[in-house]
Amino acid sequence: MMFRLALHGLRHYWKVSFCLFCGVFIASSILTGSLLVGDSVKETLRQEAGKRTGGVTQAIVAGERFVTEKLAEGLASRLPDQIIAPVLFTTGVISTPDKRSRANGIRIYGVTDSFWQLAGRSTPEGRYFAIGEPLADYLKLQRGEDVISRMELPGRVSRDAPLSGETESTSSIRGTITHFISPNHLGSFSMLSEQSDALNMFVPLELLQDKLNKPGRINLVLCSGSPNLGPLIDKIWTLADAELSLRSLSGGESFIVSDRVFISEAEEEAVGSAFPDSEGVISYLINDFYKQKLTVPYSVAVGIGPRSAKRLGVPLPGADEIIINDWLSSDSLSGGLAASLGDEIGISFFAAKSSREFIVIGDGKTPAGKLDTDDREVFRVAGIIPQNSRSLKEGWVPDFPGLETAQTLASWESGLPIDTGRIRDADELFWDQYKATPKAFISISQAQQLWGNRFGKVSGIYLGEAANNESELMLKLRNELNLAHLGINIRSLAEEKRMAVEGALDFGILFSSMSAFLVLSAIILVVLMCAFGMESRFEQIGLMMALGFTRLQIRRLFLYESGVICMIGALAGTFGGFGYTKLSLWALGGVWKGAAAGVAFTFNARLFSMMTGGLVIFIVSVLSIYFAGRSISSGCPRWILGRELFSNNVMNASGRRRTVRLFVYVAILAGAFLAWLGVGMEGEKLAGCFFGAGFLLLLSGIGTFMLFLDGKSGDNCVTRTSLAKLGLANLLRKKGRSIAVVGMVSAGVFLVAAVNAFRLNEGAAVMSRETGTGGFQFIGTTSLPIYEDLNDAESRDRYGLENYSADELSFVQMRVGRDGEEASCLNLNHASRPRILGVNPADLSRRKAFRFAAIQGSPAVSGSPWELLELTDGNDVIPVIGDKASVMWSLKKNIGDSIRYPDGKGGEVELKIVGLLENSILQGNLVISESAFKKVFPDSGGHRFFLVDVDKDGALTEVSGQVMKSLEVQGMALESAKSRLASYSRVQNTYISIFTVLGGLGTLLGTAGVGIVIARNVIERRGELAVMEAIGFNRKSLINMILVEHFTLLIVGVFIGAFSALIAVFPNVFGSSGGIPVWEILSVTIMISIGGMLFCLCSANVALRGSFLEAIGNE
Amino acid sequence: MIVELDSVNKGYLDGDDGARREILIDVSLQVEQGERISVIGHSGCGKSTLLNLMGLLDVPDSGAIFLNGKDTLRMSEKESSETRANDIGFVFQQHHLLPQATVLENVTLPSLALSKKADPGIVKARALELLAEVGIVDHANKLPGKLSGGERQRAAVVRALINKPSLLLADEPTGALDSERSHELAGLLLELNRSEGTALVMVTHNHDIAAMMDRRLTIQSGTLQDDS
Repeated sequence: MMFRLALHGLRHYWKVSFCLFCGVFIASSILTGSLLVGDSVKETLRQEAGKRTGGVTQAIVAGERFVTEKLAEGLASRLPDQIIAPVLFTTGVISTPDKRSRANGIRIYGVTDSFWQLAGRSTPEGRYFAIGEPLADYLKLQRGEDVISRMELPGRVSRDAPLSGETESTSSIRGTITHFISPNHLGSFSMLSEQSDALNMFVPLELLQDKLNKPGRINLVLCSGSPNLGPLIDKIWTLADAELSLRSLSGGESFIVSDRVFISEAEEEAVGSAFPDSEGVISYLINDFYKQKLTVPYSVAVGIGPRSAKRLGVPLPGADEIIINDWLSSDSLSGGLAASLGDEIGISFFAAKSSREFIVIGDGKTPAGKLDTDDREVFRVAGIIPQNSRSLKEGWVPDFPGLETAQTLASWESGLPIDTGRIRDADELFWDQYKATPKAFISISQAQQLWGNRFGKVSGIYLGEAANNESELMLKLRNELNLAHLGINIRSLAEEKRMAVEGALDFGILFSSMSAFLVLSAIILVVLMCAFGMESRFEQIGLMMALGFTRLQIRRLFLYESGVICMIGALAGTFGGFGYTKLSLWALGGVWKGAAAGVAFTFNARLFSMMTGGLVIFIVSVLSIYFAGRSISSGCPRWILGRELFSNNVMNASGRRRTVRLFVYVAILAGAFLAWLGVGMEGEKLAGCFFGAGFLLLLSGIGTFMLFLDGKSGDNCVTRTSLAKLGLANLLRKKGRSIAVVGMVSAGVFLVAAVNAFRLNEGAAVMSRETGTGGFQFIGTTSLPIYEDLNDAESRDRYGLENYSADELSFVQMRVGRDGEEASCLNLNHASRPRILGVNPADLSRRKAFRFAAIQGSPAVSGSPWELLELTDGNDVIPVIGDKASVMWSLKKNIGDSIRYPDGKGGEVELKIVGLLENSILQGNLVISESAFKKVFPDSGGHRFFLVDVDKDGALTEVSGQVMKSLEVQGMALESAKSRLASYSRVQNTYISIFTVLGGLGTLLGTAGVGIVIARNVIERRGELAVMEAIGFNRKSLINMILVEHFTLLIVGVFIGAFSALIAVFPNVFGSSGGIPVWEILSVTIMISIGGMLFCLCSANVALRGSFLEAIGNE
Repeated sequence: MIVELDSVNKGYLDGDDGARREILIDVSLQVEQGERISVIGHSGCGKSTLLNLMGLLDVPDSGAIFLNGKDTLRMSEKESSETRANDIGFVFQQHHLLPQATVLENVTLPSLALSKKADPGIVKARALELLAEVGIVDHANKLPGKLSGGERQRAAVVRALINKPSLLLADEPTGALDSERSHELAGLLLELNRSEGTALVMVTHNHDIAAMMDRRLTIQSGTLQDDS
């Protein structure tokens, strides 16, 4: 019966029911639509991620190292059900022979049949040269067209390392394009969660191995399915996979040496554990052995321990002792130093300063060439070994790059800046006979102190007779070492793909938040409709109470009634959401494309989102209605029935006035203080201060309006000389409603307009140091690393940049971590491992570059927060600075938080955020000090990220063109810092635009609420209006009176909101921020004003329609 | 005894000047089962207030009200509602029928408020019987909007009696009717009072109708005088 009654009510009050339905439908459509936007974005990202990795679920990534193809073969034989694809991968530059078009940062894959199996297509025939379709589209390449790709020839060890071989070594492949590979067949394969399509090229594995001089080697293994690869690899890896080899010596003894010259600490420790009697040695190139004026250039010396000394048959040299061969001890005519036991011999050698930058140690000079008496490394001869001793020739020196092929000492490309002019005939004679056989030995501890570096502290490990063959060695070594210790990682691409999508910016939440005002307005509309609907049925409520119904029963009846409508509205809204989503996606592809980061979204609707949207709105509407009804039905039944609304507030009116007045004063003073505070600030702090000041002004405006109404209500002598004045006087009758209308309109206008205070400047970035550009003109990235210091005159000369002085052109060079992902707003995917940049903090401190939003700690020396990167607490925690937007939104971290990050040694490091940059061009990256970078990624060499200072008036284009031309081989691409910053700012500004539009629509919908208030006011006063009509006023005059009354409220609301918003966006007016968004604010204000007036007009007309006779009767 | 008012006082704050105005002063009254009482007095003297207090729609400032021996001031809101549903019937000057429900649904409405749910069939039968008794059974399935003022008020009377209350409170039930219809309705109320054994307390301005009651009470200056 109750339910039937509810249905009767629903039908009888169909106009109210229909309005309720509309409100719930709108709210549900918007919320569901917003969630579906999220679904669509997620699904699009999922599809994109699917294209990126296709059927590849796991990858063994060797990073800077190269494992053998046999490792992949071993895995394939043990996993017959899975596809295991060996891949050789490098990055490079591709161009057409006529240089018509060029692309930097392309990825070149050497692949086999198994890769094409993973890609779901047949292997291209012959000696193919396949290009991914995104690359083909980017360069507008045609099949049959010739292209040249250039890549770095990988060294055996990082080219940062001393003795790493020749400095500049690139390789190129020229070929005719045979195939285009669609993204559906891994044409845009990438292991990074990136927004843009990867630019890929595919060639047969053997071809790339040949071009990179890595026969039989790969650096990537791709795998399908989900087998547990770790334990399998642990069982099958060989010494060659670790780039180690066993060197057999006479007498059943052996040495472990590394293809990478230096043996990493992890390897050294593992061998030490497996073979406790083993002993490391380190070999190094000595620039000069000298005794008084006699010198011997370019010889090898070795640091040894007791077992090695024993093998050599010499006593273990002490800290200041040296064992030399008899060639070195021979007289000067034979090329030696004429040294005897007890003589003092000095040595000098190169030490790495930075990438490919070396200083000479032990030559008695400063790097500038001045005399430095402290710079001496002098040893006393403690033994002399015969040169022809077999033990001297065997094993000590690793295969230094270039050593095997060097016919003469002068032609050995050691990678060190050797002065070949100093090489004598005697030295060449020695070379002919003994090659790089060591001429001297010092203690291992002393040697490691002098020559040890980040790549390792030993160049060979003497095993003695502990292991004669590899299988014997591996049996023990596998227990102590696994490939992860060498930075060879197994990555679950499937899991990373899932994380990238699941952890991505939730557009559903984003759109829901930005549509919240719209949803709220719709709910307010629902509540208003419901409240007024219940008010109009006051008598029914009172009667039912009189009949013995409890409040609960009455509320339940009304809930049934409105619940049915809410349910229908919410359900219809879930489908209405489709339209909202499609409209939003359309806008994201057009006017709001700045927020879409270039992605074309496809529509997707999940049942869960639809149900959530509908259900949330249903619950919220029902609860809102319940609470609105609760307040109405909570009165005494007699009051409700008789509408005798007595109030005890009369006595409190003056007290309230005092409170409101005090509040207004405080708000104005606090607002003024905030504005004053903001004048000395910049960026977000400035915007925040003025936003706060505007908000306080808004509150004080509403408060002042309350005081105005209170003041007028006490004025009983007012003479109403016109209908307009009478209309104005009517404002005082329902003060609560009047204040609510003004509050609602002004808050809406303020919120929508003032949020534009946080707009960022896209076009006219100020180029001072403390801005988002850091004062730099360009950001540069290279495909191949640059090892030289581009600020160094010699390097400039070499690259053809000698025409520019250091003042005209300078670089801040940064190292780039391997496999780092863009963690900026331009990447919608979640970047699980943001890109790490390594910089010399002094380069940025000196310039006082960038503005910091927050720092932790105090930079005492230079005063620049960049100094914090060097401040460690003596633990392993690495200080890091990142862009605030990246850290807070992409990484969801804050200042002082820590991030666990995979290092290049198979472990993890802890990065602690010590600084946040404000809206900078470094968005998407985390910056650590170069010294820390070298520790974290010891194998990573060279610089690939550059901030470029150009101070040459009117010559920006010329300079940038020259830089790109000079560094073309390295694939240098320069982008204007302003333009990069603008692209980041555009995203935030687009979000603000979306909010402005959706918020504006919300406020407009809110003004429909004003219309309802009008209708209610008029209906309540029908009797009074009827009497006025009866005594001669015409309808038009009455409508005008009603309109004056409500237009006034609307105008007051719009004025308070707009004026407060103007204060909030004040910094924008003067261009210190993002410029005033005149169009947005004006259009929203006009839209709300016109919309509100139309609602007023309609409501007044509708409410005044019909005969007043009945109303007179009721009066 | 159905109702007993013991030294009841009631006043309100005046909406204009905030001053307190005493409506009922030290009012005491007993109503026996089946008794018929009229209450008269000038406008605003407190007639409706007295009825509201007896009907548990309002609470006195001081004094006590007993209904069927129970102290109503000690009742919870829920108990008050139950008491109103079970023991009290109301007829107002306005019929207050739900425009969205049929006459039959309107008159059976109070049965939904009963704590012990009544059999819908029995309630319907009683409703039709009472509607027949007041002469509007043919309109049972019509909406109130289709009925005349007198018919609506008769429906309101049936609604007041549907739960067989022991006390029927009528607040100027004839106020909106013409003289002929007023007498008809008053006669009907008395007849139902007799047939149902319900005590009837009726506020009225009409002295003729007041004269039809067993006792005539007048409220003057907040006090109750028995004129019978």
